[in-house]
Amino acid sequence: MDDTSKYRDLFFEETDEYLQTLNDCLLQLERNPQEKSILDEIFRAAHTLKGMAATMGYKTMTELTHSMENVLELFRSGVSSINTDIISLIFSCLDKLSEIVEDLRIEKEVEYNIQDLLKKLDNVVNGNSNSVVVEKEITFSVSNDEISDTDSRVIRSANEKSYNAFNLAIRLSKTCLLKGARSYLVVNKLEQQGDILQSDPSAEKLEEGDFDDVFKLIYLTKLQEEDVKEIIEDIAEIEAVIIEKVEQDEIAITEALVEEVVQGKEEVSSPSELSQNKANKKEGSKKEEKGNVHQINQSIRVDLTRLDSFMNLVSELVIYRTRLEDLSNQYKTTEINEPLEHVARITSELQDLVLKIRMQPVNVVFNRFPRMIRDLSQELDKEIELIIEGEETELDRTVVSELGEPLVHLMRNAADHGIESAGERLAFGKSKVGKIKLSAYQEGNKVVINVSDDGKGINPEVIRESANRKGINTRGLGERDLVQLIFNQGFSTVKNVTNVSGRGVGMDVVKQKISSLGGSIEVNSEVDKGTTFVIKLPLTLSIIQALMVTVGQETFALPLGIIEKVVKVQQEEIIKSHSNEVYMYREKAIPVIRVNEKLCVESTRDNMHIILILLGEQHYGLLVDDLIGQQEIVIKKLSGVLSDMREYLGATILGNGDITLILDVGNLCNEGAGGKLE
Amino acid sequence: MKRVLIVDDAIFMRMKLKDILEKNGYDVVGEAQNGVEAIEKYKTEKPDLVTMDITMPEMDGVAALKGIKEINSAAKVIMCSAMGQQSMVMEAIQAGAVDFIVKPFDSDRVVESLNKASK
Repeated sequence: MDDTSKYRDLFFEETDEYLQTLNDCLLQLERNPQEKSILDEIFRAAHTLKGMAATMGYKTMTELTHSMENVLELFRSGVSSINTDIISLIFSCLDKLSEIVEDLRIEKEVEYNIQDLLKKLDNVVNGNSNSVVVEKEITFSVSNDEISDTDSRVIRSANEKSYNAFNLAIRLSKTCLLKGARSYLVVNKLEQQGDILQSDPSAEKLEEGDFDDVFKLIYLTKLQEEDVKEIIEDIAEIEAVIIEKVEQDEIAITEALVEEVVQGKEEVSSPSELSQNKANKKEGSKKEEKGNVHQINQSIRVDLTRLDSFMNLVSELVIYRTRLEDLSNQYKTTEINEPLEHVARITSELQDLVLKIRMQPVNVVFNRFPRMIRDLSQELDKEIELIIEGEETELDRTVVSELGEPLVHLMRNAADHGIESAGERLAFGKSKVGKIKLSAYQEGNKVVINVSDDGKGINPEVIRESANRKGINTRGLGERDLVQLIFNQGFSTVKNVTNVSGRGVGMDVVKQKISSLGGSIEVNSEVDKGTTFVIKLPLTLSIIQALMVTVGQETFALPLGIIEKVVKVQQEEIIKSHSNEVYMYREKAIPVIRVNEKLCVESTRDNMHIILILLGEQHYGLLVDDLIGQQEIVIKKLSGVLSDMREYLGATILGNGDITLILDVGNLCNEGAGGKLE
Repeated sequence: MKRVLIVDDAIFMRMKLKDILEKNGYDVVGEAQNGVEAIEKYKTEKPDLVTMDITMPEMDGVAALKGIKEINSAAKVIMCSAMGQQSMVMEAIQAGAVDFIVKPFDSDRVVESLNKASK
């Protein structure tokens, strides 16, 4: 086999897609077991997987997919019907396959125990094998006994009409895989120029490939020996052919015998007529198939790093465009203005485009949930329906790929803690089947993802109790605030840890992850009605709206998303409290952080601006000297030594070519809070 | 140089096949990922040979073969099949497929088939 290493990436990418298709379709199939088109698609995906795995030389994977295909074929041909056990069995095969694929991806050599699965699959096949055989026998029951009875006379009569009769012995090559089809091809080619009178083994065995490497034919044709030889040798996978002319007998023939030639001919050709009928039937069903099949888009695959560097280059283009515009204004070069405007338009189009290219539908994350909820509902013995909306909503690729983990957590929570058992639900007068809804939509330059369930909701009093036990102060907190406490570190209200969710680490991790993506999460819950988590995420991570401020001689950028308000303050409005400074905002004292002190920048200004930041539930005030304005900036990550500086998110290059640091407000404030404890 | 059209729904398979063919002096003039595309490409490219996968979405290989044969009854189409598709292969042969190759592809076997078919 050829060197396959260069196809590895492609193989894994496509394999992932096919596994996903299989998962999706199986779920659909479970709901509509009668839907033939779904079954066809499953079959096709399994089949393609098998072919790909075999080409890569992955034996275990090939073996497993092959057995799966055998089982699927039974359903496709209508021999067996589908039930939940079978679906579960195929699901476990898929899980095994994913496992194998993951190990192959990291080139780990593992011996898999797939014998169990193979055995189960085989049992399914064997349980039905009798009926399969019967079916085949009906299809190919035409025998050629009569021809062999009369063949000598036929040959004589044919010779009279200048036909030649040949005894052929054909040996197929040892590696020939579909012997039946191969011999069929030989017979078919020969029949274009003459007639096959007799075959050994019989035609049906020939078609089934039920013979060793050699088969024999008696062939009647007007062609000469050499021509026959050439026809056969031009067919692939033929190792050798022996041709012997049948000697002519001088016995005269009668008209009746000639008729027998015709009759014999008809008998031979009838199996192919049968398969013709079958073909017609198949064609009919195939037409229905069309509608439901996945539409394949015209697309190419691009290495992500190339896309990233494309993005970077475009960002740089934007920077220099701005720089050019500045220069043009400065030197009042009006001739340059017009082309520059074009450049400006094109670069912003480019920028939009590259952002769009990086977008991925949230579907990529969502599509794992139907399967997950199915498994969970079986595991937890609850009836759960999952509704997914807005799966086509797009987000930056980086955001999408980071989203999986927190969403899995939320979904598991909803299934485990949210939805009640069927009995409880009925007792509460709710419908027996619990609903979990996952929806996504775009709102301005943010994408909102909601995870909601109609389960028992979060009881604020339980939270309060639990918080008090853990020493968290809950005084003065409203019901809504109490519920938000679940995002606190090490907070879990479940007494028993199940293997589905709830180990006391969780919601805080979810929150951290979402925050690190520049997003926010909040929870709304009503006791006995249900819980909704609202996640808001930025469309993209690399271009943000920022507020430009000055501190002393320096300019800094602050991400606009977290800024709640900017207020001009006088020195006396900042109050000393213990060793810290606070600012009264909505009758609450909020800690003040002097950016100049934090960053060791000299500043002598007295009247300053305070920027009110909302981080989660806590307000902070950042003191800066002056505001410059709002601007769209491209975040460049700091690298090397600079990447250790936690105060900065990154840097950006401004229109005038200056480099400006972007403040990591979260880290600034947290360190500020840390200082407070000392 | 013989001009070949490759039809398969898996990019992986198309790449693999293309690689084998190009190494052995064939000119791959087009690729199609389903039967409908295959017929379209056949019309525009008029290739000397077509390799045709059997299981594909939209329109399967056997239907596409029939479509191509309607355009040109002398068209040379080689079916790409997998184990267990014997009846489909037979149907294809009945419909005029010149040969078939079985996955996983063995390059020698593929080349033998194309060489013989293009005679």
